[in-house]
Amino acid sequence: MRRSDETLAEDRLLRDSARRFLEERHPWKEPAARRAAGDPAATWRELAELGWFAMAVPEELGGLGADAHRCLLILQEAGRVMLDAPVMTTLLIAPRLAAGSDSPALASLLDGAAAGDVRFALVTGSDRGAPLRVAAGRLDGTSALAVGAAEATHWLVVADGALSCLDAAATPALRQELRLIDGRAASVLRFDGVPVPDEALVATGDAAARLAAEAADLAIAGTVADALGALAAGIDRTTVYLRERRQFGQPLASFQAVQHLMADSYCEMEGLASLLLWLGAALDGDPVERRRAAAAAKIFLGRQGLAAVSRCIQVTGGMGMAEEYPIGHVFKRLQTAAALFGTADHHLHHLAAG
Amino acid sequence: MDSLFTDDEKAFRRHVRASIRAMLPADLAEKTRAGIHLSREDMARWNRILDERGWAAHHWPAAHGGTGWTPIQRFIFESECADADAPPLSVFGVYLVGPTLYTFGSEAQKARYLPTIRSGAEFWCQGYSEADAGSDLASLRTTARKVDGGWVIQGQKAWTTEGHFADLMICLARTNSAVKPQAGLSLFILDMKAPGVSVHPVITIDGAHSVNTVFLDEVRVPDDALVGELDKGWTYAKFLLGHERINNAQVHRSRREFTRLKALAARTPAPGGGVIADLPGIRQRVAGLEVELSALEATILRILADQTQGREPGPEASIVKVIGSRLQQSISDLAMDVMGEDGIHITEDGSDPDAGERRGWTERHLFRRVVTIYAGTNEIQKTIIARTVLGL
Ligand SMILES: Cc1cc2nc3c(=O)[nH]c(=O)nc-3n(C[C@H](O)[C@H](O)[C@H](O)COP(=O)(O)OP(=O)(O)OC[C@H]3O[C@@H](n4cnc5c(N)ncnc54)[C@H](O)[C@@H]3O)c2cc1C
Repeated sequence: MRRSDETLAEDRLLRDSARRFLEERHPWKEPAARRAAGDPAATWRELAELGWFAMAVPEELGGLGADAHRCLLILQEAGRVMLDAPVMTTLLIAPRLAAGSDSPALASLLDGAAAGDVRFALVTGSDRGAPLRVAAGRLDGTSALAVGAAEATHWLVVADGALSCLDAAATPALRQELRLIDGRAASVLRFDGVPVPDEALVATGDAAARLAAEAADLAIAGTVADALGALAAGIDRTTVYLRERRQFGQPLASFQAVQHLMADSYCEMEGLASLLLWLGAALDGDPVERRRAAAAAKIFLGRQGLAAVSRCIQVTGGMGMAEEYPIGHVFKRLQTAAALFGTADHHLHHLAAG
Repeated sequence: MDSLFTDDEKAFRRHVRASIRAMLPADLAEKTRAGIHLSREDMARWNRILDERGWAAHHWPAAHGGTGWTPIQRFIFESECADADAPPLSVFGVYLVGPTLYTFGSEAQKARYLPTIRSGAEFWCQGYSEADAGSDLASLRTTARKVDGGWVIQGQKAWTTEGHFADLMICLARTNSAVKPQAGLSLFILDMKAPGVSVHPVITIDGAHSVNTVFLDEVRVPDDALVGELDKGWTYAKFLLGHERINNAQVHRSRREFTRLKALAARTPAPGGGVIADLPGIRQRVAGLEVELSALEATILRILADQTQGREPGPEASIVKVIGSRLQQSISDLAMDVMGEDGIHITEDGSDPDAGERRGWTERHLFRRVVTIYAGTNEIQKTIIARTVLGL
């Protein structure tokens, strides 16, 4: 357990080396330029070579056994450069769900994931369409937005009745491919009586329900970590801009109104970081507290996190509105994160209901 | 807000409502609902229809081809246009340049330009801001140099909305660098097709092209391109900005969009059953926004009542700009929460009747970051309020 990101020297080393690597190899680019230049498969192999997909794998399953906190540090770094590669499920979620399951369905794929050959995407049920359900060995229903599902080799499908890990290429699903406002790809998958072979079952019954709840909270943690990284980088970049740009013969940074806006944003970013730290610890603890911590982080992201990045645009002025300038993309990354896995309103509603 | 209107005004509202509904082509209303940046053709078409009725420049004095309506009648007319989903008119010609020209322009300028502004035959853009002169507009560096028979304009304008389809620019340029910055500026009319003008698109974070960088490379304009007196440009520009700010409160569009958002929430399924509009948290936010919208409407009515007695927009313009712009953002924030996951992707799914409506909200939400930035940032407006109103 850590009460600060600075507590352990190893954490800091890991974070700093990830940051150096990402800033050198995958600095932020406009989404169109990124899509044109990038080779997603090569990127994925590079990340695997860094050990990203082995870190959360328990030692007894041949991995590095890093705790949630450390994985979230990496996801924050990925958020800082707004990495396109949808790493969250493979890095954080799959290994932890595998550790909580008795079946080899997921565990047997972790070596392949560590090597970069297996790429997971989390597929959860939609609030609004037909729920995902596994009954009598068949999967039905419509998914929520599944980020990275098109590039994944395996889908981790969280459904009523079962958690399964399906070979994406062999699964007949109706796919709607979408482009998110932050430039990433996501899919909506529809399953009509898709057979779920026994070998694909990660858990059923109560165990599946338990892992489904854990998956939901892990997904929130990963999403908030990414958004927090993006926000921190956005605030850094904005402060640099404010020192450089001059109006009325002085740097924007010298105007108290601007200083106060940025101070507000900073307070909000720190609040979000603290909630994520709590959530990181809670992921290794009691499910009731874990749920509360996840809801808190998601609500704070949807309210204060978005306010924080909006102010960064505000103080950047017209330049903040330009597609070629990064801060608008930070806004879109956070806006996307705020909508995935339940809006702030949704979580507030449940928190208030007790 | 019926109690703030007289019976005559209510009758006027019924009259314009019926007329607008009869005049407005259904496809234009549809396009207005779907997008934020309308094409020149669409804006021009509505402009022409209104002009045939004598209503295009409805807020101008009758002597210049306006309606002679009272400020309150104009308010009613604009709210009815928004309610009917009529396209907004391009703000630059009819709202900004028209009043500047009939107030400060020469007879020749009025005769040449006012009719085509009214009819929508010519479009204008506003060439004030520059890359290094935004809030500090008076520091702008575009110059106008006197030559035989006219002026040569040299410089670069930034963020020029609609510059890519405008025919004319109202351009603020430095004519005297020996005096303090505000005192050495003049206002010019510039033909966008003149040699030396080049327009480069700037894409904004909603993915659209509405603004441009405009290079002015030794652009020659005739003597009568100067508006009003030499070196008085700052005064004229400030006059124009006052009009821009009242317009930028966008109260009628906000009211209309809010109504549509409530309808969207009332048909969007909520997680766990029912509709989003019925969730207690959403109901409270809707009620809260309703209150803020009423405050804005009543504030604007107060300002207009003062204007009826002949007062030009003063620092109150700053108040409504601040309140109105924040409200626009709060409404689109709520829209994002109503739409949830369906608001963060751009889908072409023709089978979903609400896909277009949602797309419009998403694009608006992104573009709306700008409303607290342009037409004088909210920080600058608040400083004006603090200084000129509160005397701080
Ligand atoms: C989409 C869009 C459309 C536009 N359309 C037009 C147009 O058609 N024509 C035109 O001429 N211009 C247009 N503009 C320009 C717009 O008016 C400017 O962006 C605006 O005036 C702000 O200037 P800036 O962008 O240089 O920001 P800056 O002036 O650099 O301001 C950056 C931040 O610093 C703050 N700040 C600056 N000075 C102070 C101070 N003294 N005290 C406290 N805070 C301060 C600002 O409030 C802001 O938050 C448009 C801009 C955009 C983004």
